Amino acid sequence: MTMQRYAEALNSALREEMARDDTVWLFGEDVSTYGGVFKVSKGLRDEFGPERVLDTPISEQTLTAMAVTAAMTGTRPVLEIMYADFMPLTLDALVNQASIYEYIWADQVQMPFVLRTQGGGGAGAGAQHSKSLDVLVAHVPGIKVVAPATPADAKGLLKAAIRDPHPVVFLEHKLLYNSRDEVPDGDHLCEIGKARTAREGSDVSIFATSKMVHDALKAATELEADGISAEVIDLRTLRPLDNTAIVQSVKKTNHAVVVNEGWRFCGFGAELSATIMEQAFDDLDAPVERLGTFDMPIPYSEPLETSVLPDAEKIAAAARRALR
Amino acid sequence: MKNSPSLDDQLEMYRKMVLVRQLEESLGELHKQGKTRGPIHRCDGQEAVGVGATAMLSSDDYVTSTHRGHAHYVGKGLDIHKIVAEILGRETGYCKGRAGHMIVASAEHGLLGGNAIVGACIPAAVGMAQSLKLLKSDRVAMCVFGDGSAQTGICHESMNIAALWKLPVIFVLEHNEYGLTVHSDEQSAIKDLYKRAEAYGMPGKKVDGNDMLAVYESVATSVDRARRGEGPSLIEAKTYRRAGFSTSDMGGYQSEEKIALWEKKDPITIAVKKLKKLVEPTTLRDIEELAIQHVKDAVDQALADPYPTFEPHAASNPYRGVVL
Amino acid sequence: MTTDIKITGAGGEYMESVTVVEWVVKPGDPVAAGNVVVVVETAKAATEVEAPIDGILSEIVVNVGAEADIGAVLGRISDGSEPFDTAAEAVAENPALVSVETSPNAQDLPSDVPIEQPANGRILATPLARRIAAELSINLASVNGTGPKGRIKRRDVELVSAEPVASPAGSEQCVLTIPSVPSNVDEYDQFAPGSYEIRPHDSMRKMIAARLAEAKQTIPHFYLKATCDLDSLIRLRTEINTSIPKDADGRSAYKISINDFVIKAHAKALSEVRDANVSWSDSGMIVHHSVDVSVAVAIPGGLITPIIRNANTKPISTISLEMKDLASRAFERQLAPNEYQGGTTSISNLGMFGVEEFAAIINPPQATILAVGAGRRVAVVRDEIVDVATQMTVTLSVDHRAVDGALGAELLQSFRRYIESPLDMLV
Repeated sequence: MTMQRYAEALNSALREEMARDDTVWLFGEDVSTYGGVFKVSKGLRDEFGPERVLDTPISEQTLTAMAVTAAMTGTRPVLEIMYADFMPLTLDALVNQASIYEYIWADQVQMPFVLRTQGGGGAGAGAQHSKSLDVLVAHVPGIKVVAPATPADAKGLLKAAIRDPHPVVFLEHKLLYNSRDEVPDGDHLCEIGKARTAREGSDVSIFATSKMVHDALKAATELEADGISAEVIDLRTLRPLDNTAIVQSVKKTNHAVVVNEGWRFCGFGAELSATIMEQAFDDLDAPVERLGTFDMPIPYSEPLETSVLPDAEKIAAAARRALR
Repeated sequence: MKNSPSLDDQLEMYRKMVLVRQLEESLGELHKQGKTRGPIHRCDGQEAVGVGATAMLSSDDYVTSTHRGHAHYVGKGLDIHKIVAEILGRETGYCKGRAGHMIVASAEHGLLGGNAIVGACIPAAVGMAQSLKLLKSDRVAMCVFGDGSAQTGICHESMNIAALWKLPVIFVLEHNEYGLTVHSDEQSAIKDLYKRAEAYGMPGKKVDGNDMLAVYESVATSVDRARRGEGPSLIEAKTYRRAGFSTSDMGGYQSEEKIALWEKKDPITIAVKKLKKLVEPTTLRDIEELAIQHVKDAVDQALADPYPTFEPHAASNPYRGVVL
Repeated sequence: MTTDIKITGAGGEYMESVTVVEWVVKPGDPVAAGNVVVVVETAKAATEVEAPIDGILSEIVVNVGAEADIGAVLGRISDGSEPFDTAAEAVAENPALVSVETSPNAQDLPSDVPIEQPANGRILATPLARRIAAELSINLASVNGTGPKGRIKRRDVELVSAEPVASPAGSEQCVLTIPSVPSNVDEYDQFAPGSYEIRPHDSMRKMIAARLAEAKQTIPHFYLKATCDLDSLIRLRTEINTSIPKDADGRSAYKISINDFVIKAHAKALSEVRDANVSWSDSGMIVHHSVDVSVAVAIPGGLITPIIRNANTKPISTISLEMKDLASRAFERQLAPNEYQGGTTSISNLGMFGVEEFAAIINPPQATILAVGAGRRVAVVRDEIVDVATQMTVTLSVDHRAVDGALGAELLQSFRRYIESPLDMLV
């Protein structure tokens, strides 16, 4: 084990995979000479050369489309989209191109590319640099969506994503880049599509991804003081969704809180609560509690931004409501 | 002369143009009989672009195409029967009936593939070219696109990036004057779109798109340049869309006079006139008869082919574990 | 101030209780004196109850479907002198209003929504509570819901059931105990203050009360009585018990009781008369494939009915050993639900108390129960000679919806034959 920051863990994953496989290459805005605005690709240009680590024009639509077809013609691109807020620009390439080809072309091609981006609020970045648009991509068949919460998972899942033969959208969180935790040494890989029990509990299950896992863990500590035993499930992957883990936890606790930092309406929590309703209906002893960002643009000023985002306190309150 | 096709090459191009013409007429009939689904976008009169531009490519060069791509499919060597079977939604089609006529792909022929999002084939070829460059290959990627596509943002982004990175791309602009019902004069302030090439820092040329030899020679020069690693080129092939936007087009916005004028400049007529100077008329007639029979046989066979049966697609599946 | 809406002995007709059929107005609605506010139903007819004053319906005390005694308060009308919290009521009905009116933090619903089941008579219960109640054959109408809006949760069903239900995932679940408050004070008015104390009902008492009251009210019982000679059986039992291997201290490994034979005989009889091995349901007759005999066991504070499954096919020694084990664990309330739920008939034996004969209440959804009296020496007439015999009287209670008289008689006849020719049971 080595203590690493989340950003460093991602950097190690990129370095190890580029060293392992000559066809892996990085591109995106400011990723090469500067090493990425969040320093995730720091030092990689020096190590692997400007041919494999490319700064690009500000052309997200074309860059994403290029990742799709480069992946189907023999290389493994890793594209960085600087903010998740720019994801709408990438959508034709993801929704109309990457999503369809494996099936529509009867498995004649595979597309091993990774689109990394980072989202999330809490940094005062304003309405165009703070969103979590997980569902824009999780909605689409044929694209895997991963959202790690810890440095260890960031590394293990990114390495797995790069080796995956299918498109993977890799969602990072700006407030997690500096979080430090232990990362396993060696060739650490995490299976995509497998949830992790971040904390065991017996009274209520809290399902979360990315930064919300940490808020859920804080909420669980708070609930423990009241004698409530909360289980926190870090889904790690939004698609494919680990139904087994979800159903098992609900069967155990009979109460569910679903949390996602995206907007609440038609958000990922809706998918989770519908899944729980469909597959664990007879184990539910209360309606599923659903938390997301309040349905409005994310404001700049701190008290305003704090008001709209889900946090530990709101998660704990939701857990208490579920247990009434 | 360098980059001129041999006589055999010319006869093969002629054969392919007749195949395409017969294919388009047969599809028109099948559509009227209700044997096809959805619209069919015919390319009658534009055969010389698709066939001429692809004739010098090998099967491991890549071509990306449009929703009006039958001449590109045939030019790249795809089998008529498997094209027709795909259009008729049969198991024996290139994509097992999943794609339909607009999105046909054949990986073994490097055709990846038709694309019904106008403009999307342009960055697609650029991504493939980037892969080829990283793989240090002398293969090339070609996109054939229309004057409608030329007005998209991704066309600009793609040409900029291709020229910037000196990628082995050939931009073949099949200028047929119409984007659905709107004439190109109402979509662009300039008539000659090849002039934009200079602004991106790449060669731009204009050719008679109804003369297969002219198309061939112009494109072949650009292909050679791309293979040498000298970067992309833009060839604007002037032609005319005689067949309406699609089989669902009610017409009325194209003038009869103009259509009649372009019928006189029919690419097959032009080819025959030139070839008659080189071979006996019976040679051409034999080629024509065989090609017509070839398409008839292909249609008969495809009509008798089985439909596919539905199966879920694992790579598109959103869940793992328990599923209802 | 508020004025009570009461039901009096309207029309001079004698009534004990009424059932509320419909509330014509909703809480918060204005009412005028003399206008109908609630419709109740007596055993004979529906009666409309009028508002005693002008005002606003502030509270529904008796919901639709519930019963009320004559004189009981059905609801209350406010004259408007104190504010009625219509906003809270609106929120309870339409949670969407909350997010419109409050800050983003309050996507949270208010925690103090009224604890009350909906007035339309539908029972609010969570899916888990419904599932567990169905597994335990508990009628949700008999369960007091403590969740939001009076919703019945797992904990509420568990209070009614005899034992906490093991979670499907095998986890521990804390069972909350809710102090039981007398819901109807009328019984207490009958007795002088200080002349009694109140012992709260435990869950077993509640379940016995609910299930047997329901059985007696809804199952059309009829009763068949037969007297059986026991002498052959007693001789056989002595022979068997003498031949049972003994340990070093001279104690038998087990000892067959008369009741063990009764269980076996009843099971054999049912396996012969299979049409009586059934349960009534509205959608169709449940015809059981196995004969599983519930045996009533008195335990401190109540009774429980452990089951000898497939009793018709088990050797008498097995029945005896199983019964001993089940009874001792029942006494310690250590039985698992599947050990006392799901028998196809029951036996209740009060012979050990000297009871000569009695009739038992059917244990739903079973169709029969055999009540067994004490064996006793009696004078009998045989071949015109007065002789002495040991006899016992059994009474079969039968659900007439499922089993008719002749079929019940056939069953009882078969039982008697086995008791009187006990060797037939063993072959």
